[in-house]
Amino acid sequence: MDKYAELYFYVDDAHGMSIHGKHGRGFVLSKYNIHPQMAMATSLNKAFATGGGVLVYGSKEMARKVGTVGGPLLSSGPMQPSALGAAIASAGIHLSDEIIDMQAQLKDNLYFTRLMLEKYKLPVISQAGAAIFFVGVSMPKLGHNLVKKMLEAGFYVNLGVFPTVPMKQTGVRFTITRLHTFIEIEKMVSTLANAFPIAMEEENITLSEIYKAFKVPMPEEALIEKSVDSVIKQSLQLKLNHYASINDIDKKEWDDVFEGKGTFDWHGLHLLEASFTGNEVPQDNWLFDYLTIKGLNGNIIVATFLTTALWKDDMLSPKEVTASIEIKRITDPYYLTSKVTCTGSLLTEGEHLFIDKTSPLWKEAVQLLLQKIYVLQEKYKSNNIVLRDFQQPDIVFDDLMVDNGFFKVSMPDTHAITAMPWNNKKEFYDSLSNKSKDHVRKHVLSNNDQFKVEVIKISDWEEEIDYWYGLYLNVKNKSLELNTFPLPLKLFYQLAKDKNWEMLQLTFIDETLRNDDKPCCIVFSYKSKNAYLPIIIGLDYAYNLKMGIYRQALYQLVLRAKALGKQKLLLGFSATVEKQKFGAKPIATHAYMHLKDSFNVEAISSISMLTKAAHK
Amino acid sequence: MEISIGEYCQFTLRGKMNLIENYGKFECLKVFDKKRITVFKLFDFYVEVIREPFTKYIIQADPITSKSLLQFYNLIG
Repeated sequence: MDKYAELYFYVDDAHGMSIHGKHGRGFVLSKYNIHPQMAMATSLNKAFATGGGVLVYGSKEMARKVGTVGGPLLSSGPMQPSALGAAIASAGIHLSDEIIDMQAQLKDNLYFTRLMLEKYKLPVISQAGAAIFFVGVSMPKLGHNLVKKMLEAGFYVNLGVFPTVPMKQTGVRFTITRLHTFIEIEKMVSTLANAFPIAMEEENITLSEIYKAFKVPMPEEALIEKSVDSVIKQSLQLKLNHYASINDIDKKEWDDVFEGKGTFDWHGLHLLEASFTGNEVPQDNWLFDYLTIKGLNGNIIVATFLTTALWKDDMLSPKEVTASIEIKRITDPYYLTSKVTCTGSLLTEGEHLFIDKTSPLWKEAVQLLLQKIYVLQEKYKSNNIVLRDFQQPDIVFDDLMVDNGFFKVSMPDTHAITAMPWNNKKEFYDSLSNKSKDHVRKHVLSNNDQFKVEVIKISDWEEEIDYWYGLYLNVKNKSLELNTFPLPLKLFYQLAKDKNWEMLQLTFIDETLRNDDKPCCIVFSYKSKNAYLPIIIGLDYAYNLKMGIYRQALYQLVLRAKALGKQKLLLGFSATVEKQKFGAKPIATHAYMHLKDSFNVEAISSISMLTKAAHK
Repeated sequence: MEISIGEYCQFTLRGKMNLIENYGKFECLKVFDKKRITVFKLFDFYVEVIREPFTKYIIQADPITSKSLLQFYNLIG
């Protein structure tokens, strides 16, 4: 701080207060003097044993500044007189020699506790000098199990759980005071040690998995147990297969599970792999992993594919937040981005995770899958895991995911026309609600004859594809609701020559309108077994409002899906109102996420608060 | 559960007494050289607690590591 005038040091020494230093001034001030660029916060609720808190500043100016602009976010109030009285009494003790003896007694208790935890071989993650201890359990389900067992045995301990700690780094927390006796401490630790293996067995978590979750090497003795675990695992009735390319998987086996569910049948994934490898920039290079878990009879119980790619952390943030972050990305393109391992990919939508819930082993298979995904997360050093595009509410599955370190988040609604029981344009029109009919008549059919509609099955004309890419970038740059990196041009070349994809192109019949004969809209769609999936759209926004290009495109897509004999039209995220006018139903979608580090999420949350405040 | 001599020595005098009270087994009492000495077996070692003979104020509670001292207290043959 002496070297850097702009470096400020904010210290939270709540857990060091009273325990350490002369007059119990805390750990930090017992080691260093306060610096003019330093502010220290401490709590009077902990070892000080009263209430309230204290802020210590290195300069009067800083104290003035914080006092002026650093008020409470929600509400605040004065300390209650009783707490104030207790605080004065406690301060008296701190200023007397009595504190020295008390500190020594507490330190004995803390040292004894550390010894007991070590003797009883509990997975203590860090050896802090504070009075709060943290025994790692990894998954929340094991933590809840242990807390219950401890309560039944007469010991009240609590949990350190997400979001205070990362989801997979849950731990049992307890506080030791000066007044605990050694016998009490030993009883508590021995009870925890007895309950630990029983709870681990019940929750199917091993000691090695706990240490791994905290990235702490296992103690030597526990390594023996680890080898036993792996033998038990091998004897399970499930077989996990991991492939790094779709080329390594039998086409029929994969398509039996995923054909018709989206653009991720065998052929679709082959194209994705070709498009998202060997590119120049990191965001265009994805890692692909394919996982299947089979039972003893060889039937697939769980299957999915994962991509690991660079995502913008504000992908699902409100437009205003994304807009302010994008300004920063002009100079720092990877600002607030993270590597994410997700089921499916940024270009696919649908049921990416197949689970045969008729199998009695489906839960075990999902757990095995999650363990493998965690391994991949470590291998690729991804910050987040996202399991996405779940549509049906399933409480049992929710619980399973939460127990295994995930939390549930809502995704934007997806949209689908799931039945097309009409035979021609008129019948389609008649099938719509009165309100939608009005909309379609006024905004679509009224200028229907001003568009030339073409379906292009294959193109290798570079100039044309480059132009389509430009139309796509128009949409991409305007759409901040789902903020992603732009797709690479290489993908468009691949799509344009692929037999399972086609391009629906709209051009104004009146060439004088734009002074050229180039198209004003392009839609890249995937033709799956039963469904038609428009995936990428490009538009000329200069004429969209006037000519209703997007609406016209939606209408033409409905007609095209029918013409191809498809039973479903899957229209994807966003533009709910427009899509509903054509009979599409919004479908609530959710995902499960696991964050290794929530720093970026918290940074976005702060930006969001600042943006809201600025708008007010 | 056992605590070693090294671990025992990390405690303050009050902590050592706490351990002796909770886990120690009385062996013998001697008044020697104007001091009142009580010997306890604690886990797998012995501890001598030395007090002022009149005030009974505890001066120290250290492990006995000397073989001759152990023989003096008749703790080993």
